[in-house]
Amino acid sequence: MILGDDQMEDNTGYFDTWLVSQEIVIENLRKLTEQKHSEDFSRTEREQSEDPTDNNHRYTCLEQMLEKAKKNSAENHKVITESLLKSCNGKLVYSKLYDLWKPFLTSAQECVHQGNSKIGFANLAEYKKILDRVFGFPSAHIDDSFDQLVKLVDSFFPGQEAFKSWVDLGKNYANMFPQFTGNNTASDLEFLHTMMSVYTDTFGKIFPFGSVDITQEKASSSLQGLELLTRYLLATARYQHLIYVTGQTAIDTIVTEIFETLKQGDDPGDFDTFFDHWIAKNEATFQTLFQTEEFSEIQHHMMKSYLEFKNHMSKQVELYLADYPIPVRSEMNDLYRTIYELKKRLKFLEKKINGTGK
Amino acid sequence: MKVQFSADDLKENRKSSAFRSTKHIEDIDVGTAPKKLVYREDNIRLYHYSQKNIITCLTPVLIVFALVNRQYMLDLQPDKSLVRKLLQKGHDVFIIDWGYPTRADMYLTMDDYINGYFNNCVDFVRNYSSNDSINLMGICQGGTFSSIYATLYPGKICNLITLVAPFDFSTNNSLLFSWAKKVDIDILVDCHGNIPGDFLNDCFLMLMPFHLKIKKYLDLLKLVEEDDKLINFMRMEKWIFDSPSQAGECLRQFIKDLYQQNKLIRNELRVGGKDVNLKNLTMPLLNVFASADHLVPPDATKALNDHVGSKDTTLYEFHGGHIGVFVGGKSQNILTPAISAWLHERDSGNVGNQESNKDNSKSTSQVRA
Repeated sequence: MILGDDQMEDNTGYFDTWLVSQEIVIENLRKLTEQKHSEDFSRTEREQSEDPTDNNHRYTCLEQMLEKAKKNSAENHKVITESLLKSCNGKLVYSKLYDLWKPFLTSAQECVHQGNSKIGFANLAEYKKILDRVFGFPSAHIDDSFDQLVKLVDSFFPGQEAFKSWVDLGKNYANMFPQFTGNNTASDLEFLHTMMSVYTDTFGKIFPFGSVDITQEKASSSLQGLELLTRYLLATARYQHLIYVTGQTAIDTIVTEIFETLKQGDDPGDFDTFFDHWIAKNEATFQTLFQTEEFSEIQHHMMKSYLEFKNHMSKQVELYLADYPIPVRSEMNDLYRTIYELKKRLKFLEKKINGTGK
Repeated sequence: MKVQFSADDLKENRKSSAFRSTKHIEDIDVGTAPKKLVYREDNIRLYHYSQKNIITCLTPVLIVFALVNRQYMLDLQPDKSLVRKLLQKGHDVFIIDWGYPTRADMYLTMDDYINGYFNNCVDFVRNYSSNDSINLMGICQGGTFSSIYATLYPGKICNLITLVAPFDFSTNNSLLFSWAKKVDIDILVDCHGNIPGDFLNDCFLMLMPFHLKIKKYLDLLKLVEEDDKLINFMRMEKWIFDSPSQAGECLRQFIKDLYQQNKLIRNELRVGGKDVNLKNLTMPLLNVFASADHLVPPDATKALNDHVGSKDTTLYEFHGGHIGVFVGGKSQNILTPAISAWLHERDSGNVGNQESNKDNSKSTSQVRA
C-alpha cells in the first residue's frame, strides 16, 4: 500500500489513528485468546476447575489482563494524544520526518511494484534539500541566539574572549548542519578543522591532543575514509541492482517460456533439460548485459571506488603505525624497489664481465 | 500432463557417492612427466623433460606458458599431455616455470621477463643443446611474449609456434578484451603491488559465470561414481585455481601497451628500450587459433600472420575452445601431431649431432642458483 499525503497531514489525526490501532490490536488479541480457549476447553470444564495453575485459569487471567489493558487504553487515549500534541505541536515533527522519508518509501515501493524503475536511494542532493527544509533553522535566528549567548557569557566573564570562539563554532555548526548530509566532504572537513583549531587555542593549551595521539591529520583521514567507503558502497549498490534486475529479467523469460510450453500441451522435458535451458538463458542474458557500456562503466566505477578506499585505508593504517617501530608497507615497497634495482644492476654487470650481455 | 521436473541427480545417494569417491583421494597429481631442473634464476625454473624415445627433431623446443597460469596444464594427466605427445613424436622438450611472484617481485617489468629471464633461458637451452637457435612454442600470453622475443632476438629462434595467443588487441569479440580496455590498471597496481591471482581468476570466471560457477559443479554429480573422471575433474580444478599473482609493473605495461593501446601489432611497442618490430620476425611461423576461444578471440590471434616479416607462415585453425587446445582429444590426436610434423619438416639438424648432444646434455646438466 502506498500511503497518501492526506493520511499524514496533521499530527492530531496521526496520533489518533495510532492509538486506535493499538486498541484494535489489543481487542483482536483478546478475541483470539477467547476463541482459542473455546476450542480447547468447554466453558463448563473451565468453571469447574479450581486449580489456579491449570490452563483454564491462565486463560482467564489473560482475558482479564487484556480487558484491563483495553479499558486503560481507551481511558488514556485522550490524555496521551494531548501529551503528544503538546510535545510536538508547532514543530510538525512527524510531517517533516514523513517528508524526509517519502521519496525513499515511494521509490522503494515503485521498485517493488514495477521491478525495473530506477531507485533514487542514492540521490543525496534530494535528501539534502529535504533536510535543509526540515532542520534548516533560519540563520538570522541562530546568529541572534548565539549573540545573546556571547553577551551573557561576557556579563559573567567580562573581557574573556576564550568562549567567543566556541560560540562562533556553534554558530558555524548550526548553519552548516544540513550540509553534512550533502556528501560534501570539504565542508565536513572545514568544520572539523575549525573545531580542532578552536580546541587547540583554548582547552588544547592545557589538554593537548598530542597526549592522546588524535591529530588533526588522523581525524581528517578517518573522515575521508568514511566518505570513500560510502562511495564504494553506493557503487556496489548500483552494481548489485543491475545484476539483480538482469537476473529477474532472465527468470521472467524462462517462466514465460515454460508456461507457454505447458499451455500448448507440450512436454517441458525432464529436470536436466530445464536446468540446461535455465543455465543457457541466464548466461545469454548476462552476456548481453556484460557487453553493454553501462555495465562496463558501473563495474569500472565499483572497482575504482573500492581501490581508492583500500588505498586510503592502507595509508591510514600507516599513519597510525607511524609512532611504532614497525616497518610499514610503503617502507617495505621502497626496500623492495632498492633490492630490485640492485639485483638488476648486478645481473647487468655480471653479464658484462662474462661477455654474455647480448 | 505431469511435469517431469525431478532432480534425480541431486539425490542423497549420489552425494554420498561423491563423498566416498573424494575421501580416498589424497593428492591431485599433475605434471608427472619425468623432468629435470636445469636452470634457476630467482623464482624462475627451467626444466628439461626426460626423453626415452629417439630424438627425431634435432632442434629442441622451449615451451613458454602464460604468466597468469601454471605450465603443468600441458602435462595435466598422463593420457592428456601435450608434452608427452611431443616426447613421443621425438622432440627434445624444455619448459619455463615462471613461478609465483612474491611482493619482492612487484617491480619486475616486461623487460625483466623478456630480455632477462626469457633470454637467459633461451641462452641456456642453446648452450645446453649446442644449438645456435632453438624452436620456441609460446602459449596464450606466453605466445605474445614469444613473438616479442622472436622480433628482438630473431637469430636465436629457428621456428616459432604460437598457440591461442593474442596479438591484435583492437578486437572486442571477447569480454576479456572489452573489460581490460576499461580497467584502471594504474590504481590497481598502485593499490595491490602484485595483482592477486584470485582476483584475475574471478575475472576469468565472470566471463561465463553460470557455466563456470554453477553448471560445472552440478554436472560433477554425474561423474562422481567414476574415479578416473573425478580425479581428472579435480586436476583441472587444481590448475584453474592455482593462479599466481602477477608482478604489478609487468601487468601494468601488458594491459596499457597491448590491451589498451594495441602497440604490438602497430609496431609501436618498446621493451627495455628496444623497438619491437614484427617485420623482424623472419623465422617460420605456425600460428594456432581456436575457433571457439572465449578468452582469446580468433581475430586477435590470426592478425599476426599478416604483420610478420617471415615468408613461411602457417595459420592453423583448431576446432574447439581455449582449454581444448591443451587437454582435449583433438589436441592429442590432431593438433600435437600436426605441430610435430610442421617442426620436423623444418628441422635442419642431423641424427649424429643429436646423439652427441644427448650425451653432452647428460654430463653438463646443472642448477644455477
